[in-house]
Amino acid sequence: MKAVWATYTRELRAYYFSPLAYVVLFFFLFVTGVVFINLVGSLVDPRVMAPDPALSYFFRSSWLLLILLAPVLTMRLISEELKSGSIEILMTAPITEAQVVAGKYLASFTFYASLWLPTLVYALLIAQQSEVDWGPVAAGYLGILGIGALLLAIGTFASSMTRSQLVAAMVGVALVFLLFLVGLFEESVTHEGMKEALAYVNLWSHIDEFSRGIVDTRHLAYYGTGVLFFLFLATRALEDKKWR
Amino acid sequence: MTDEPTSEPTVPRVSRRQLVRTGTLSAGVLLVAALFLIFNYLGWKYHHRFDWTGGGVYSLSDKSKSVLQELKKDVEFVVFIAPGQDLYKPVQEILSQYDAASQKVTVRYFDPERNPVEAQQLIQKYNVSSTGQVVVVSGADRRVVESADLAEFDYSGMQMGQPPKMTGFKGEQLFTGALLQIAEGRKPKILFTTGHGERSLDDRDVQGLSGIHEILGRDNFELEEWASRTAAAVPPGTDLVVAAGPTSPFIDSELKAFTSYLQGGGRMLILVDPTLGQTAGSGLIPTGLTPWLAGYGVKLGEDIVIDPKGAYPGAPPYTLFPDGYGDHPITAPLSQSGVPVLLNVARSVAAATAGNPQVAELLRTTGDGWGETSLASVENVEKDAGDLPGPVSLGVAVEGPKEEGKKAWRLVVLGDSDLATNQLVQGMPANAVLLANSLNWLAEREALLTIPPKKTENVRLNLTSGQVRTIYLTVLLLLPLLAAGLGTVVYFRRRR
Repeated sequence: MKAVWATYTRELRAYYFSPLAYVVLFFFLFVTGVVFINLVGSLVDPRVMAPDPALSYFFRSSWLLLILLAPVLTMRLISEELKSGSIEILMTAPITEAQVVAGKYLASFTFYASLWLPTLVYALLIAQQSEVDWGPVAAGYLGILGIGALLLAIGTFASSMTRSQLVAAMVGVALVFLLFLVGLFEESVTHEGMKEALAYVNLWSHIDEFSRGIVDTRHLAYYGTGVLFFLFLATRALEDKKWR
Repeated sequence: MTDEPTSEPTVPRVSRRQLVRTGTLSAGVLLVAALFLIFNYLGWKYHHRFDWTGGGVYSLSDKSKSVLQELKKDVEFVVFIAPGQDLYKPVQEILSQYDAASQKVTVRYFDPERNPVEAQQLIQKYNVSSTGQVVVVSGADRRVVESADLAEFDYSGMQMGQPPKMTGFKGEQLFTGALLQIAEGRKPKILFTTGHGERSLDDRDVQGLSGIHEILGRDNFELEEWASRTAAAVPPGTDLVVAAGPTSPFIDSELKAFTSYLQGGGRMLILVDPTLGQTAGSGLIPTGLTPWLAGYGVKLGEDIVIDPKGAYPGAPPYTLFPDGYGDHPITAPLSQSGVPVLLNVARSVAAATAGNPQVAELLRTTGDGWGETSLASVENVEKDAGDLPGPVSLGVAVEGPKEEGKKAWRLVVLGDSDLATNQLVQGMPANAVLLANSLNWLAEREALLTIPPKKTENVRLNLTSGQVRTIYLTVLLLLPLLAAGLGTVVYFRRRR
């Protein structure tokens, strides 16, 4: 646990002391801000049907940022260490590959969660003017964190496979995009069993439900096991590199 | 012995090691992938959905849960609502809960736009007139839930060019109602008296009852016309008798048959208009019901109710909206929703003696309304001393004394039958609700009335342009610039 904590704090420092993180935060807040402004526009205009619950539109739209955000946040995690060779120093320390992966992943997740923290201001801005049902807001954030956790794990795995950050980002985007596409197929499939299986992995419908205030344990189980699976793959990829 | 060079291949040894390593790695990955699938299968099989909305929009009531648990027949919900429609999501969510709560429930969706042929076949099969419906099917039995009935809308902003706002969703009320009806098995049988100029169930004209016939049929009632004049008694197995707008008197043998039917726990709905006689000043045509109803504590007024304050805009003051509803299960949903019922040429119907606990008032006019007793002409009438002062009661519900082992009689009397005609039922949805609720209360199907609609969030912002500008600046400038500022600070601290 100590080893995980040491890796976690080291990695977290790397995130917060990197000006690049603030560039990401700047663009993230700008894009989510545009989404929110769009929402405010529909809540102010009486001719437009308001989304219900109001903030569901914000979650349903801004989660699409994750296609790029998750791979960008994780591309550096392991591939940088592989490229600079610092991974060998790390491996000689009394720490296992799994602990390295866990510490780094948790740091990326913490940074990811902190990106969303300022967006609470949006909900507070609406609450100042109208009554807000906080349950769906909390569920929306839970969905954003759950889906983010899964996609960051995929990004971590992509980063463990290559020394190049660019390649890691591209592989990450490709894997995440594949998952997005699977969801789109659900609409066109008519076979009941297949439809049900695709609905299970369809992140589009997951965020839709979370944003409306429905928390389904199936989604949480999927994210939890998905995170463990991809982190396991990242660990094995790292072990494999060690033996080469 | 010559030393022959040993050709121990080193490369294959490395390959073997690599092979073993790759094999172990693959086996590990496969094992974890299998565990991933098993855990997800279990998670899918034993899942739970939590509803975090404040109003419990996605939670089933205890009543629905118990109805679902006691289902003995397989039930299929066939949804003909396109995914783009506003009602699709709430219907899908509530039905997924029905599906999860009972093994006997299945749900099928048909998008008439994507599968027009299949949808058309099913529309014909289930005899539904258009799309935008949910058909609840159990064997040969089926109920149709109209999408127009599924939601409550606020139309108040329409004059300002605003679209109607959905303020409540009644999916659970209607779907559980349909399940209850299916569980009931036998359809309650209603006989409509004939032979006294009553309105006809099959009449498709504006003054006919074909519309209400169709609506009540969907509510699982079996409606038939009955020639009461020649019958000695109400036929056994009759759950309800309705007299809808008689314009000539019931004879003694009929009234006796009604009396003995009610004494045996019978149920009756009487819609009785103030029909003017052929000659001026001859008063209202007698129906024989006034003295008979007095025996049940109901006073049928010899008047026509006038209410200039509650009148339908542009119509004479005898075409009116009741101003208030009594505290009764029949009118409670109307009173909650505030949707108005429209009456046309009604007479007063009240308790014969004030304070009789058996008689409950259902509808009344405003305080400015009155019962006009000078019936020579109903044009240009004025309230005077001989008239019945307002607020005037327009309908009552009466229940007989409850005795052990005996079914108490029930009676609903409304002073107007126009409210049930095609003209008013089609234009005023609350009229159909009033009639259906009266029949459901009479047939002791109160459970169909009790699930209140779920209220939705409905956030609307009334902001001045200054407030909108402040939000824009906060969100698009202040927050991103704070991030940029923090980044700059970090950058310069690192350089130092």
